[in-house]
Amino acid sequence: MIRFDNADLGYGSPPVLRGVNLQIHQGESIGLVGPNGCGKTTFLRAVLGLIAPSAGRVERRPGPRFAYVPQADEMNLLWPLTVEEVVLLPAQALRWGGRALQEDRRRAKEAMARSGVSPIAHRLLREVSGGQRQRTAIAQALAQAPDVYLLDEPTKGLDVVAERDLLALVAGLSEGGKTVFLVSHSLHIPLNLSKRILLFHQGSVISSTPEEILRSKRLEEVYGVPFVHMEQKGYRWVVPEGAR
Amino acid sequence: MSFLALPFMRTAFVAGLFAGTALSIIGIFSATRSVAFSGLAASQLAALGGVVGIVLGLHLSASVFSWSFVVAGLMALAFLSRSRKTSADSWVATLYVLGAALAVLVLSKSPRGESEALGVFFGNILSVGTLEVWEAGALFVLTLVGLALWFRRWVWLAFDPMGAEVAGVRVGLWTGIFHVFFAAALTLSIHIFGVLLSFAYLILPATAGLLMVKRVRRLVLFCIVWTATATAVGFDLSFRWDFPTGPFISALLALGALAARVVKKPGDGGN
Repeated sequence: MIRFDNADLGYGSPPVLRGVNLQIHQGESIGLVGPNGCGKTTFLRAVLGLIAPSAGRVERRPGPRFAYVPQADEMNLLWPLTVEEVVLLPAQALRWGGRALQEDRRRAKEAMARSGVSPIAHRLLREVSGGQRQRTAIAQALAQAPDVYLLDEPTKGLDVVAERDLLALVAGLSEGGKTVFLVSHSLHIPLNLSKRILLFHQGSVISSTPEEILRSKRLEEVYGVPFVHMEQKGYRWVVPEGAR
Repeated sequence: MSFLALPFMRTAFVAGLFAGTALSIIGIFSATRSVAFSGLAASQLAALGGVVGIVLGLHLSASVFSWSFVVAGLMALAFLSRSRKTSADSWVATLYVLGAALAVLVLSKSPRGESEALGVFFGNILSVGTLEVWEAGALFVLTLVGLALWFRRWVWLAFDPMGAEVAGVRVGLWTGIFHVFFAAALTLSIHIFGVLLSFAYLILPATAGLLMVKRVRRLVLFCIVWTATATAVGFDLSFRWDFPTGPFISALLALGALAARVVKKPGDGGN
């Protein structure tokens, strides 16, 4: 779907990421991991085609449709929009006159049912909980029927039960050959949900698998501190050593 | 005697009604983006453009100058706000100060400086003619057409700009088109009513509406009705009690926003 061939990516000189060599296939579930400012957003902008490489090449298969799932607190809650209006908004926004077709409404209804927000469809987004807001953002992305989902810290600010419920929903996004990019500072999330992990470190991108990450010392190299790895009931967990 | 009995007041009222309602609908986007003061800076730049046009003796081109200054100012603001070392608010303040200071400096060299300054900052209702009524009417219709076609797109850009960009909306283009409408409404309103009332129309009806109603469509309707009512009441009472019209309507709109805040306590719903 996208091929990075020795690509330098950024907004000028020096580039944020150097010599990126990667191939991303349709249907992959990819976690993006690394400290703040390491180039995750730059990489995603290159995936979207919003920035061109300053050196090397980025080849993108034409036509994939992208949908972005923002953090719950990124959405502008001053707008008096209901959950249903938020889910329908992209379809309306992309049509002249802002009128949703029957097909758009059917898709929105299905997306709300799948995301578990149908019972709160007519409530204002600003009046529902953080977890429900995040589910609404996922419903909005589902309703766009994209080929690729970009999720930015989808569990930020959620309590543990809301996080668990949301992750079950996120795990289902890659069904049907959809590609999922998941950015998270909570390392256990991509380690459990993604089949492939991209580690961003000092201007380079290291492609790995969750199993390799747990076996190797790569997290230690990236974050500069030792980590404790745990696995219980098939669930992986990593925390920096001494974190108590 | 009603103010409607005087032809010049009638003309100014109709022009103000059109320009004010157009501006109040557009102002929903300023109020919801928490960028109210960029509206004030833009108003000041429009005033500066008008002053430059008048001082250069290009009276007919004053509106073109105002419009150009607003568009240039909004573009400059977008560029300056990219800096991560300063807040966007600092640049809004910078443009406001620049616009206000330069307008006063330019006016100080104008032979009719004081009277023109009053016109720029508080408007000149007496100067409104049939042409302005047609311009305001056309602006009102164009604003409604623009909103009918692209309202949801602009809402998406204000609600979740990254989501819109990822889905393929050309953010720069559509923000630019919105700014053209914004600048046109602001320019005309400043020509008729000056900086104070134009800024009031831009921010205060939407602020009250966000408190009073719970649906986007009702918010648009609220802004139209609220603005029209405040304008009619303001014209009538200022005429009866012999007050300047622009500041009178501005005070009414500000009191209305404060009243909405008192009526709707935090957590209260609207309709």
